[in-house]
Amino acid sequence: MPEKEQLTPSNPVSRRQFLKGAGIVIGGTAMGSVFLLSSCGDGGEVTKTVTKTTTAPGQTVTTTAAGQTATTTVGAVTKYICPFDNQEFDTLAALKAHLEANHVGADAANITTLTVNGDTYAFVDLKPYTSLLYLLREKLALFGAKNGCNMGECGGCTVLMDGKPVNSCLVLAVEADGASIETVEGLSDGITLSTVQQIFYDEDALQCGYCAPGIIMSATALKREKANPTLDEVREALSGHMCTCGNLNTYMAALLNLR
Amino acid sequence: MADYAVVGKAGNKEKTIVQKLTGRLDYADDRLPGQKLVARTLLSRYANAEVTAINTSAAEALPGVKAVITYDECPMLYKSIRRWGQEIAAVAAVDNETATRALELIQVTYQEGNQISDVEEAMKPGAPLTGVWEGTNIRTSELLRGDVEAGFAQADQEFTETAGWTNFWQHKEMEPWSATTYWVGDDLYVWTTSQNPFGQRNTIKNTMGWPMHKIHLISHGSGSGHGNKHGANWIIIAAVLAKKAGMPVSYHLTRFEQCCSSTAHQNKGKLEMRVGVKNDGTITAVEATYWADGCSGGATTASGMDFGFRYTYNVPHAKWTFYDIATNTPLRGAFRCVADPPGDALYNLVMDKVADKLGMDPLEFRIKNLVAPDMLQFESKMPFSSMGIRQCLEQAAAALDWDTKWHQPGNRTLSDGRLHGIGIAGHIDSHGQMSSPCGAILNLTKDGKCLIAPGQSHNAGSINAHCHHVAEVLGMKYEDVHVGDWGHTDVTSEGGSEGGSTRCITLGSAYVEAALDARAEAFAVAAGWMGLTPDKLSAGDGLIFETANPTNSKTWVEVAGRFSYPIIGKGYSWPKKLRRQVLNWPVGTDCEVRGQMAQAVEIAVDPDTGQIEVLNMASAIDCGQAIYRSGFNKGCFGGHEIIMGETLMYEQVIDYGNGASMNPNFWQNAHVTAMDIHPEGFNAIAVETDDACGPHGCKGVGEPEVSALACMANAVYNATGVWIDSLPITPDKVLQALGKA
Ligand code: FES
Ligand code: FES
Repeated sequence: MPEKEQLTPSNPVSRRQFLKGAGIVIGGTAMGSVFLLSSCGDGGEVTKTVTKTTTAPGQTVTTTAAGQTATTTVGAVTKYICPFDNQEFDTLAALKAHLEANHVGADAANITTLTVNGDTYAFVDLKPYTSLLYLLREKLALFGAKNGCNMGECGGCTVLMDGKPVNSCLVLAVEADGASIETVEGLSDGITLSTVQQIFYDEDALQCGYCAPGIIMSATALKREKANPTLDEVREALSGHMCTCGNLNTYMAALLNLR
Repeated sequence: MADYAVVGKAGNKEKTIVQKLTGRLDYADDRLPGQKLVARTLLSRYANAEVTAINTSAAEALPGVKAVITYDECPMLYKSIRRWGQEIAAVAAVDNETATRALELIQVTYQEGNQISDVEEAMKPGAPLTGVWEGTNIRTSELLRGDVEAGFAQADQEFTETAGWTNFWQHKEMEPWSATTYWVGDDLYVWTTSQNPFGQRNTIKNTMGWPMHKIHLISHGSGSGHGNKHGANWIIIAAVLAKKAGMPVSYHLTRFEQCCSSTAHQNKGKLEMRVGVKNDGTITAVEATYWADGCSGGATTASGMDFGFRYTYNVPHAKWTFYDIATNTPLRGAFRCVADPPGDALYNLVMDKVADKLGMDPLEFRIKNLVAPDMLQFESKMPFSSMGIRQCLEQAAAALDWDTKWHQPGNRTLSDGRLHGIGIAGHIDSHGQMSSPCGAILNLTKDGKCLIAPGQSHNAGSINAHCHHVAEVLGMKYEDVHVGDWGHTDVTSEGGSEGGSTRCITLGSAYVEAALDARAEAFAVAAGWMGLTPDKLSAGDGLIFETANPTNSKTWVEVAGRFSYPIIGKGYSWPKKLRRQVLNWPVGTDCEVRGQMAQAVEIAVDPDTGQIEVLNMASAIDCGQAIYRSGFNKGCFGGHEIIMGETLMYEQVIDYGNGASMNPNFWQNAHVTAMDIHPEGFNAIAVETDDACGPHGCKGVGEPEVSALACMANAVYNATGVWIDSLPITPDKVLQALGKA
């Protein structure tokens, strides 16, 4: 089990947040690629991370080396940071105005912001076909949602969008603009499990586990709505999920406390 | 039966469950975020053709494309096409959309040949050749036992029954084939989905000639895999692309690619069986002919389909004839075995048909003809290391109240107007045995715990079984034995193939040896401290203690604190021999180690719609000894779902006109969902016969859990009084059988 990491004044940035920022890559434009992140921690601390990428289209990689990723702590505010000159802005609108005025080629109109597991991210120049699943996995390194079919058939990629389960492979990232996304990583710090995770843990209810993150998200939405669902409600909530280990009955039995 | 402290105890958890629950277990594609190119393959539009020309220049010129390869550069891409959807070229590009667009720009010229994807057409005399084998579409073999005609002469009655075809279905594992690869100099790094990491490394080396020690292959999570993740095709394609592009490449197949490329389609089979019986139901002789679709890989699986019958029933005179037929259909491969599921379905159907003709209860007919525990297997002349088939049949039947619920076919209607049916099937399985040698290593830590390092992926249960074996031998608590790294060819020991339901017993035996090896060293440390000799010590419940005076003890933590050097345990798997006397067969006798099983099912058939509802199912599996008990249960319950799918739903539909797969995805290829399931109707029964070969008396259970497909067809007959012996049993077939369609 991962060891718990304390947020302290001398360690204001959690390793989780740090890694999240460090692994980010952007599908680029001819001009440049931008990733903006501002993240509110609890207890009034705010972490802001700026990451720049190189300009080759599509496959540029950001690393934490050589000061490319800067991580600092400021007061309890969200800052939007220009990826080109590091100037800080209090609002997205101000940043957009700055981009338009100062950085020719950066499409200031095409900024997608979304909140994932409580952290707010802004992306510039997302391709129109980029799926939410791709964005979560390849740009935010949140690999919990699985690509089982990439066409809405298996439920492996299920995340919560504004509290409702969606197949993230079928949601365009730009469609999620302004939405709040929850993924399996957001349910637990790896030590304290969520209600549904705990139920499955107690029943030792997983086999290979590939379908589990998606099923956990659908079951989470169900349990939030109804603490003690009926068989038919469980059936319906899980009906969009496949499990080729044949483990659906075990998940269902666990949610219904049958065995 | 031995009384174990850890083995078989309820409540022990899967070792990586928290990683899985929290989305933190890494599967093959969960690497190098945003840093990897995406691979896609160009698939043939013809089922039998030669590629005469290929032009990739337009694809190469597309911005974002980093590498294009064809059959000239990669042996996993083909010029001679024998199946629709065969791989011709591959592209690596910055994203899926660019790679897909690039495929459209590759120009291929084909010279079309004759394709035959209908097995019945391919086996007709004078049929055009499918091109899979030189000069023929059919291969034949035979097996004889005793004197068949003498056997039939002893019979009072003779019946000739047929069953099949069984269905052709695709594997549909939740995680498709997937590999992330990159190169550092001439060192290749691979993360892949796997059922055999070391076997994959071998295949890569043999196919490409790359030095074995420079192939660094890791498989941590693997998303389901019931026989389809032994190969390395997808890894090689990704690796060749990565080398050419000079960048990391992920080849994570689309469902379409997976359906076309996957080696695991369960093949179609058919059986005709002449059965001689005495009036009391004793079988005196059989003469059986099996046909199997060998598909475009030219598989010869017909001769495996008889296995269960040969091992399960006491029939001294028999003749089997096998026909394998090559067609231009997708590759066949293991889905919970290659031959057992269709084979077991076929003869179990015939058993019911014969019982019906005799007017006997099919359970009674089966039990009457079972091999006895004191018999040698007819062909191998070896004794069985344990024999629980009779208990399996009896206990599966009892779980569904067979004696009360079985009735003459078609004569019980439920109050809602639906037809009630109950069916059973069972057999001695070819799986669950001790397989080829493998090795185990483990480390004892200075804080008194143990870390095992198995050379296999974390697919499902057997890694947890190894932890049980090790904890039992070391006398540690289950919680104190952990999985360190696993499935990593650089640092773990060669763990063999996670196929044939062999890991729990084979690698398990190696882990027993490794634990004994480490324990001996730890006992030496403890003995020196306690002023005893090691032979006076035992271990249990987290303690090392004096056998004659258990209160004189040290904890593992205390003893480990005194290790002056790291203690590593190593062990090798056991041979397939009796380790204790069975009846008159002494220790050391070569033996048959076979999983055994029976499955019963109770259904309701709606005569107006043809819908079948599964009300109750029960599996009774002779596992020797359940090791990881909740794993055993989950496996059995999973078997229920898989059997429901195999018998009622799954079918890969092929257009015989051109060999194309008509439903190469999940949604058109119906899968069991939560809407189909009554979780409270599932029953798992461990029949524990204390196997005389396996570690802690165990045998493998994976495949035995799922192959009693005939139970469903037999239940449908019991409900309706009409046979539907071709799978899957879909509502239209039911209505047709009832004369309503
Ligand atoms: S990956 Fe989205 S539903 Fe399968
Ligand atoms: S547990 Fe393996 S796919 Fe569901």
